[in-house]
Amino acid sequence: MTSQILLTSSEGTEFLVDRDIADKSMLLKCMLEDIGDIGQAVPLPNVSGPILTKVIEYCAHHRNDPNFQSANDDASADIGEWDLEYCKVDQGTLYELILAANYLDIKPLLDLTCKTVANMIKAKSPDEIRKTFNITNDFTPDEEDQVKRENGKFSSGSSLKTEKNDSG
Amino acid sequence: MSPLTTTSILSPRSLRKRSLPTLPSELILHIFKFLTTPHDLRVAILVCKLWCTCGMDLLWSRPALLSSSVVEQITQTLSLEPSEMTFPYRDHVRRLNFSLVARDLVDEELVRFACCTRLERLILQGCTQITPDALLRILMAGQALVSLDLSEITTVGDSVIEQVATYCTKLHTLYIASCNAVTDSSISKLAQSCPSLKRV
Repeated sequence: MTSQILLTSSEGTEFLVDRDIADKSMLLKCMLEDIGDIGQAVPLPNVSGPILTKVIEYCAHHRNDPNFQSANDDASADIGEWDLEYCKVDQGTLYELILAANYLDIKPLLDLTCKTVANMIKAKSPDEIRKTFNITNDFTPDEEDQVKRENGKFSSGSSLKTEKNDSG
Repeated sequence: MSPLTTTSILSPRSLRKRSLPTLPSELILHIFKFLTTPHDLRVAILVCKLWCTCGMDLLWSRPALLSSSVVEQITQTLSLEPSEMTFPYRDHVRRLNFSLVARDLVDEELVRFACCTRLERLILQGCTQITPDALLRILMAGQALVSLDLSEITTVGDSVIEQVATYCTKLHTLYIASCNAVTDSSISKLAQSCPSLKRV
């Protein structure tokens, strides 16, 4: 019989989850390894019911992935079809998922959701980005010009693969 | 057998309104790590001040020295007076790889990077026009250097290695292929001064 644990969302809703799915969260995995099986529910005051549902859905779908932990490491790799559909949610939900994945320490989900937001930023102008995310421009025109001048046309070397010493 | 049971009713109104600007900085930074083209990062820093601060370290920690004109532009920014700079750019620079501009790099350009006192990795492979005088200026600012590549700079001899021993005590890797003027005596001084040295 598969071991199960009980999780409680911020509103007090209870979720019964198989142990191997809960273990996708490093936070829960370590907690359960330390404490062992507990009869009481694990409270997750930072995660609402609807978001916890989505998180569990992700972990359940990927429960048998052998390469789960490094799944979305590569910034230039395409997002898989199921993951793409999974991320078709409104922006508020997407950000809540980022926060939940960070809190629960589920790296592949954090990487997936952050990559999704990054894809919404790509190939846009600053103004288009501001409109997409409802961000106020708090630069004065002078400040904006100065940042542009100082940062000009050069780029970050993180995409270069020619460096010898490439460890973190 | 379903993996979960729930008594909640999914309702969009139960979600708090969460927006991108309210994410903590480290998560905004994590998002920026997935901006794969340099152009996108340069655009992102112009969106608002928070994004600018978050993106600045990514942009400047490892600036891509693709051509002499890019090097010129970077040094212009680094040479600004601290009071004129929007950000302390020089403090963000941690890796410099000059191998793509190696043949053209001259002393005057190199020494303008001597203000980057938090530099950890420096690659000068093939920079054959660089003289020991310019190297000294860089090394004097190199207290944080852990990795140094001086390969193919044939003017590098014992005096340069001794300066490395004096100033770069945190060094763990040194590349000196084709630096035929270097002898064992300076290498042993290096080994004595740099307790972390793993590879020469």
